[in-house]
Amino acid sequence: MTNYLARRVLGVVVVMFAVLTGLFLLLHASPVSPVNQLAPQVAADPAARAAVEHRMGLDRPLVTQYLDYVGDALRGDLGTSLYDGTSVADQIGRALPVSLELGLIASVFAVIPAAVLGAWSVLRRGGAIDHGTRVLTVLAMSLPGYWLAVVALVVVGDSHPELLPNAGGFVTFGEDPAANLQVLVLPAIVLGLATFAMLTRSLRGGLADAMASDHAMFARAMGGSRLLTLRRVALRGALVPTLTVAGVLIGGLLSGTVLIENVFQIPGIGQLMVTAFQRQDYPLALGACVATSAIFLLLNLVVDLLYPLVDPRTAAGVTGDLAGRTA
Amino acid sequence: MADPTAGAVPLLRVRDLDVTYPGPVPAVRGVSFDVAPGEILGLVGESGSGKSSVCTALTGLLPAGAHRRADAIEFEGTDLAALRERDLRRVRGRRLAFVPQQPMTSLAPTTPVVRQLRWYLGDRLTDVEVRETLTGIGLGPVLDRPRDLPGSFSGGQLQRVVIAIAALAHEPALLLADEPTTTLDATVQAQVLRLLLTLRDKLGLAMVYVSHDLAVVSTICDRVGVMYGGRLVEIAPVRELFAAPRHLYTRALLAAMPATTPADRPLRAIEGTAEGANLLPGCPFAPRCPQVLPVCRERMPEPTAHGPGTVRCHLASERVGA
Repeated sequence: MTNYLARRVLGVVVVMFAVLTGLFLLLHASPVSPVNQLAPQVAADPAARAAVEHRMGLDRPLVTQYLDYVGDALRGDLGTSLYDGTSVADQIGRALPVSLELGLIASVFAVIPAAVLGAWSVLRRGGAIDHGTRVLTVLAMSLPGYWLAVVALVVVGDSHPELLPNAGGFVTFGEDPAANLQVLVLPAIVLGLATFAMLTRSLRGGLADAMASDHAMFARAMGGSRLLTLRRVALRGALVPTLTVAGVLIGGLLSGTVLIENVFQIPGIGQLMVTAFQRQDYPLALGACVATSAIFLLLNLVVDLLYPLVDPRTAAGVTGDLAGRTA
Repeated sequence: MADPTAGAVPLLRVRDLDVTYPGPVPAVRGVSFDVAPGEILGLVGESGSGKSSVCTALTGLLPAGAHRRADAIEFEGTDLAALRERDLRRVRGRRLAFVPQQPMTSLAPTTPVVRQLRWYLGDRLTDVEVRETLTGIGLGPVLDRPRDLPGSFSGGQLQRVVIAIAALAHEPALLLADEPTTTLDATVQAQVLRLLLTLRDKLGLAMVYVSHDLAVVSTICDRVGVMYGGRLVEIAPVRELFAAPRHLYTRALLAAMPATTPADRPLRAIEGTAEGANLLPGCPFAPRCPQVLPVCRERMPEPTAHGPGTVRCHLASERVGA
């Protein structure tokens, strides 16, 4: 078990490092350069350009720049914004909680109905709930998020303007919890809808398979009700694939969503990233990307650590595998 | 098919049972039989003959899409076919236990075996008597490893766990055993069979034992039903059936047994295949029957009593009539 844990954590560290390296190199390979942002008269003068590049350290070898960046990043320093000179870490620190909160609410809106409807439609298989859930999930999956966001904005915003975060008027949870939650409900529903649909489908499929398995059949032959059999025998088996899907989807919800944040004017990390790229503010863009990847990877680490709790064979299988390889 | 041996009220009375799965091929057609208290009834037949479907249909746990119809499925005086799911649950496991075919997959793979025993046996698992019984059937090693998952035990151990759950969780009057030893090797098979017989003697339970292994059936069963193409073609006390099989399929089946074939002769298989037999309007065995009559292809013969047995064969009826 500790072996499994250590392997997973190590895996996340390695991937995080690879992501950081990849993003760094990509941004440096792109034509995006802070020098482009200079006033035309400065940019036109080669000497002035060189001076600026020298001041920013851009004339140093790529390896040195890279090692500098990694070293600073490890100490929590992601550099300063080229646009206004503020600390990138501070900007991310302001935007990230907003995105995390929105993602969390969206996850709750996705997971709870998915669990209820997924299980219910298996218990009443072929019944009205089952069919209704199928129609609902197909609809939820096929409606594009941006369209839904705009429709929600127009329709709800018309009748209940207090539910919309007004441009520039976003209040954080710390300032006014009630007002903050009020404006996040609508974006969270729109954001979580597709995740809800996919989780419901995954859970329903997994549970239906598990309920048709030999062990569920035996549990029912021994007098267990459908509900008891589902809870005791079928659930664990069905949870493993759903957990995988949930890890990826919820990772997507938490790590900021450009579209929803943009449409609803929520100052989260997605919004920050878009602004950074528009302004060619590459330290900020890089920092935001790294933060997003970190959230995503951490969530998948959590999912990996949940597997052995749901299915004890996962951990045993990994260690057994290792033992087999070293033997 | 009336059972002349049962003077008393049968424990289980099945009349005209049909089972269909989605698709055109019926799995079970017009099967009728009785099981007396304490009796072991064997159901034999090839794969696809419908014997497992009979078993599953009796528990009312056919998969989604499957359909069951019967004139009567009377168990201890109540018609199971008429019971609602809620009432059926009081019968399942308590009075009517089921031992599935696959021991390796019949227990939840992610929960320790001992905890699953506790699900079904409850606090009785700590009773000295129950523990003695479990140790007596060789489950001591299982009880000593309370954290181990089903995957770390052998098929024989798991099958004994499943049988112990089925037989000991409550006091069943009837145990439906669906090929419980098929996936086990010969020595373990013998242990499991001995266990079933011990439980029968100790608890007085009756059994429906589904198998395609005639040797096993001849050892443990009191009566045997032979199924072919979804039909029950013959049912007779085990001695009668093996000494004087009346249906031509039964004869062919017995003749094909390796034990009845001298060692220096090749094994005799029955000509042809059972494919399509379930759809025939007449006797399902007609296409492969060596003495087939025109009438055999047209309608299914009615059950006729022959001594203590019952057979559905035009030829057998004719021989009696002649």
